[in-house]
Amino acid sequence: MKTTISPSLHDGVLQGTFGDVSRDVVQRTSTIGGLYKKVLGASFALTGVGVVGFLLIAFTGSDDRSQWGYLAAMVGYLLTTALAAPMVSIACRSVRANWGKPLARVAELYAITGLGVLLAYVPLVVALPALYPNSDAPRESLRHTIWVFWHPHAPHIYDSLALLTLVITGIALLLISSIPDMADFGAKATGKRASIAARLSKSWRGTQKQWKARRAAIGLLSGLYFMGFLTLHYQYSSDFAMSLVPGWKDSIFPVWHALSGLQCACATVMVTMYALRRWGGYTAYFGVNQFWSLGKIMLALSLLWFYFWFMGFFTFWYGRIPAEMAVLEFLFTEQYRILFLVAFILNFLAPLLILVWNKVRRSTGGPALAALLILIGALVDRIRIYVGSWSIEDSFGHSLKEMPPAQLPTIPDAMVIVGGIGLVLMIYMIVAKVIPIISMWETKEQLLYVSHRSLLKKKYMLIGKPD
Amino acid sequence: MQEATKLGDKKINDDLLANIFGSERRYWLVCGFLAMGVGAFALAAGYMIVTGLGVTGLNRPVFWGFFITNFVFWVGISHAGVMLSAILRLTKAEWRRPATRAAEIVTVFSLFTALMMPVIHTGRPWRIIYWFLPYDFQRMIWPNIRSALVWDPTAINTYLTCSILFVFVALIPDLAVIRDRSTGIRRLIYSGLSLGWRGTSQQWKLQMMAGVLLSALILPIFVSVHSIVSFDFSMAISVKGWHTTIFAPYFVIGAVHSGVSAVVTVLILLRFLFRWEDYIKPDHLDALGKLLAVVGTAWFFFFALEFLYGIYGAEPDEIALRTTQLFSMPWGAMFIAFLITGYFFPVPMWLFRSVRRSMFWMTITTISVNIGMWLERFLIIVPGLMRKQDLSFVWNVYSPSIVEITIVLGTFCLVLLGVLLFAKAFPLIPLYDIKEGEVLQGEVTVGRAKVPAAFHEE
Repeated sequence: MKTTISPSLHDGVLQGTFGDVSRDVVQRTSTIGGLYKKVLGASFALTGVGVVGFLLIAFTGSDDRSQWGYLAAMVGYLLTTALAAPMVSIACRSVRANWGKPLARVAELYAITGLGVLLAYVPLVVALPALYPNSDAPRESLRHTIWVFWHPHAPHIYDSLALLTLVITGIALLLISSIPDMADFGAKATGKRASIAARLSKSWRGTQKQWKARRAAIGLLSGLYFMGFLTLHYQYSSDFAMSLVPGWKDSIFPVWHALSGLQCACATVMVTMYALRRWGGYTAYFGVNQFWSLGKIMLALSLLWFYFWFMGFFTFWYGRIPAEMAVLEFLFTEQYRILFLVAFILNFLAPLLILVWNKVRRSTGGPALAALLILIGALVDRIRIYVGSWSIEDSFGHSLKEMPPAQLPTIPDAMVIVGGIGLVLMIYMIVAKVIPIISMWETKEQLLYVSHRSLLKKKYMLIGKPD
Repeated sequence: MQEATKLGDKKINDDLLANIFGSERRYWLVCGFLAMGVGAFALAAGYMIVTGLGVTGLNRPVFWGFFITNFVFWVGISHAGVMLSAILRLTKAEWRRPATRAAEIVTVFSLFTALMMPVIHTGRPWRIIYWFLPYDFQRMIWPNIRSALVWDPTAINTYLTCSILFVFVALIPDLAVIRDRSTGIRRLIYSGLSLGWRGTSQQWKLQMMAGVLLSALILPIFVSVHSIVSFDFSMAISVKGWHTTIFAPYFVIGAVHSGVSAVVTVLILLRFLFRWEDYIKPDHLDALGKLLAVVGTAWFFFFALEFLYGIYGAEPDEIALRTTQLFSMPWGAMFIAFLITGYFFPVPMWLFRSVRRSMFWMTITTISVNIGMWLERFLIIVPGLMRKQDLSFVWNVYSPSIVEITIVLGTFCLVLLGVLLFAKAFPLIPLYDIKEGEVLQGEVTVGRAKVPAAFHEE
């Protein structure tokens, strides 16, 4: 199915008809090219490597908690990147940003990768220690926790529920927002994938009532996802990191963790967008405007990353309380100093120095490079936090009694890390061939609302925003 | 998005400069009422300075009471200016236009008032000199520059200077309009203030660039000011409930919550006083209401974290403090009042479009927020100090005296009076901004519907 008509970009404004957009996106979704097959094969292989790595760790026979540190870091990283990505589409929709319309699905599609995160999370929840050393232990021996007067297994129960809720909400949001596009794809394409899409959107007729109900559902699910996102970051960062380090009582840490998630959400979408533009041929949908706008948000979030980190660090450092100083030494200035410096450079300094220049922001390569560095920095940072926290043998008490040395990755640890990334990539690529990766209905909306008009002898972009 | 209505340059000039060239009676009535409040404030402060701090409720171990609470509150209110002016300018939010100048002016007057509070709090204002001079010349004992209490006035003064500059740069084109309409000495004054503005394209270009640059430069100051104010508390490790890492962003977001609410209240007052129905429209309040709902919820999230990490790990002294805040009277009642007025009443109300577009309900809800936010600061400061700490040896309950209450109430009159007197000399809605907004307004036709639109430079 070849067509010569396809939408195009003129001075940052998408040109074409509704039919052009549908034809183009349906054609790209139904075609499976050689490069796609190669990348999918590679992601399968990486996932396999990860599974082997996990089995090697699980069957070494040791009940040492520290062996799960890298898996905890991997799950933390996926919460920060893949499961955070839908926040970009939620944010763009809530402020009715027209530039964000074509990339909404790119972001939302990551919600489905939550299924992979859930799988990786299961061994962790088994390895996480209870809040009390044993059932007869007095309250005073309670591990420092957000679940002060709760059941000793509260983190296990409620963190699992939080993750499950977020994944279900994300998938529901993805399915509901993509119904019109799946109906379009199902009607215009042939084959097994098209019939799955058609079945998923069976009841869709595009009536006014259906559109209204769908918009309300998207609004509701978006709000739920946002709250779920904050809750999960709060719980996971507290229970799977802070609570395992005696003396680490840091109320800004969950916020910083979630903020880092928002920064990585932009970075994840940016890198995906760059790949789709560069190798997927989606040049008409992802122009400089998308990179520029998302780049600005990424710059602001990088500055906030520094602000939140600094406020936490400075309060501890200035206070000079021995228990807090020990935490700083352990996570920032001694054992994990190098990892912290790398994360600091990649999550703050490098994006700042790249994105501060408007010329660089108004390119496709500059913001994409900054995004890639942020993603690498976030991985290093999650390793610093979670591997460090899980390496502490005795989590009870009010301050760190002894500081274990920095734990270098073993071969199975490295396999788990690459496996996690492979798993997410694999799920994303498979689903992208059933649900169109470009949000067609929103792109068509963009065609309606954005145009070029003359004003005082110059051409400007006229952007409509309905109530 | 606002609905497109064209007023024309002449009408805009006439409407927005009307108060400068001749005020209505109700304007003077309100000013007179506020001046009485300011008079009471001056009398109470004078009495306290002459008599001594013994006329206040401050005593061991609670030496920070109403005055310091009020100081934090007014610094908070000052955050509205940058939020509405700089941030919304950078994000090109069209609906910001009528609110920016009023927000900036509220910022300037609330910063003045905030700076006044620690001076009054000293009881002997002349002693403020020791902030930058040695308090023992012979032994050359200088103030400790590593103390957050020294950083604080520095940050506030920097913010005040930048805010004044920000207001002035934005005022220049409007000053030239007043100059062209004035005669005599008034013309002379406005000629000097408008710095030779002729409205050439180069001047406009420079003015726009200065606005954007100042917006970007003032942002770090905006964030740092309330962060440094929060350091007054979070760096004090001996007081339970204060040494917590979230305080800086918690204070900043709380400041935006109360500041933007205060600006909404002031805008509604201005609309009523100057009959600015064509400029401050339900559309603007609607947008501000949405912004407030988001900011308020973010603030509540930070509050929840601050509270939850207070009881993190069940440390006995922290639990005791939270128990005092929640269950002993009058703190418990205040805590409930703070939660209801600061969040649970206004934010759910703002979810309704009809509330966001109603002058009455927006007045009630935004005043409610500021009652809540004042109580929040009070509940942070006093119960923490009241409890016996490592370096204090007595317990005491703090209750403010009539002098303190008068001074605090007087500051509200002072800020409002300052804003209204400013409106007598300068337009509180930027003329050129409104005119620019009219030029940039457009419409997009979608089927049979007309959708409001705006021109954007790429």
